[in-house]
Amino acid sequence: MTPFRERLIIQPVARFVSEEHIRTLLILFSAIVFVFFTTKEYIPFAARLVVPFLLILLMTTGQMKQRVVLLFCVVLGLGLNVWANYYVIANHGFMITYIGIALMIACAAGAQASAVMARAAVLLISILMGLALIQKLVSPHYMTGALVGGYLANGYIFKTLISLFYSNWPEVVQQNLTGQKLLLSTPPGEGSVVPLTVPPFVQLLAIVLTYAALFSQVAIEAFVLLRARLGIWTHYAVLLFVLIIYSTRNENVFLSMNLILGYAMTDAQTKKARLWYVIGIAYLLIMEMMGLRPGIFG
Amino acid sequence: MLDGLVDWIGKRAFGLVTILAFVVGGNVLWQIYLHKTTPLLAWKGGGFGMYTEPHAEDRGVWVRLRGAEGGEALVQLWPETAAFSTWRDMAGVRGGAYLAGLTRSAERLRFYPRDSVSDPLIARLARVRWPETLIQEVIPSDGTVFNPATISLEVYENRFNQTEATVSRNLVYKRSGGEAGQ
Repeated sequence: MTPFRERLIIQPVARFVSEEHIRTLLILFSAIVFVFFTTKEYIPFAARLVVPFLLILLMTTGQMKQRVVLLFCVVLGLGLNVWANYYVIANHGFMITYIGIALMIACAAGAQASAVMARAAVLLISILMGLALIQKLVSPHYMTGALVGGYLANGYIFKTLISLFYSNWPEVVQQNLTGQKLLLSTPPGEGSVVPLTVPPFVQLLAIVLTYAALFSQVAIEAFVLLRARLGIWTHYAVLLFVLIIYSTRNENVFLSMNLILGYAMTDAQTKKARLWYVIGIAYLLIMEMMGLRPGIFG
Repeated sequence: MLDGLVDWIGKRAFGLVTILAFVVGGNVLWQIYLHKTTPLLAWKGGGFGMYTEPHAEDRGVWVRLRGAEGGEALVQLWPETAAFSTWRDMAGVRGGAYLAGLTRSAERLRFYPRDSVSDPLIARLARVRWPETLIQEVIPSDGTVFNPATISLEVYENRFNQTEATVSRNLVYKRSGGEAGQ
């Protein structure tokens, strides 16, 4: 049987994304910025209009200097968005800006671009994963299981899966949500607590998921730090991590940024993983643009 | 000049990405500090503290208006109520835009409630002629409008308690026009 990457339709793509590291990074970065700019309502109209044209130029130019200048223009747009909405935008607004800056610096390095980008990706993933882990550890709300428990009780995660074992779950979730909405709209001083219906097994599940998420973040951090020894397994771990997060929350743009950093970390020994990163990013961005999500994760 | 600049960046690329990493780490640490010492949401400010603490959706913004004869009205600014949106829709083009601006500001206030954001909002609220549907019998302190000193902004947060299976609402921020010297 022909291996997947050797099949007639896949082979050209597999070869391109495996051999053309920086060009693929520029294409992936452009795709992510395009989706980010077109799906987030707080991006100004002028930026939505101009940036796609800059991205087309960025993807097609072969000159190092032009790439740096175009990346500078895109990063300027991303940076202004961060500056103007510092305490309003989500973390992926920061992350794509960091990735853009790193890519701009890497492109200026010419022949060393791949190595520079790999270093930047390792630093960004390990610092952001490490500090995000610390944020969880210092949050009593998270550590008591309340964050995940609340998400389960409100049907934000695994609503469909729980419904398979507990048929009344959608009604219970609806009641829980209505109670909280009412609490938010009750004048202060006229009530401050509302009970939710949370079956014991859901409470237990909340604790299990809370610590499973912590463990997976520790594991990813370890895989990235030990990547020289673990080789391709580091990349499979990153891909699995993204798949697990995808099963819980609709964070497609943010996850595609994790994958582009994973792609950037690959080298000659681990380039086998590149195709999977590209497929992952394409899938996430297409789903984001279409607003689709597998029903089982609902 | 451009060639020289690109060349300069290229020669120092490894050092520059290391500096970038320090900036990224520094911003996260600064955000953690702000989140722990102020009502800044864990989700905002580039601190990557998402999925640790309640989201902005769990926060509501209220305005407390003290009337001329000791009465008090509480108006929910965010999430916007049906009564408020009906009033806005009937307030004409300019009036509607003004009220929509208040709602937008209240929405943004949830992310990082602080005096530099709430003081101008209180000043804008002090120019509003509130309808009876929202303030009932309360008589505005300055005839048709409320004096800034009689206006307070309050931000509340819903928080789930895992052991008790309850959601409690807590005050996370309060600012009155009087405190701002308005």
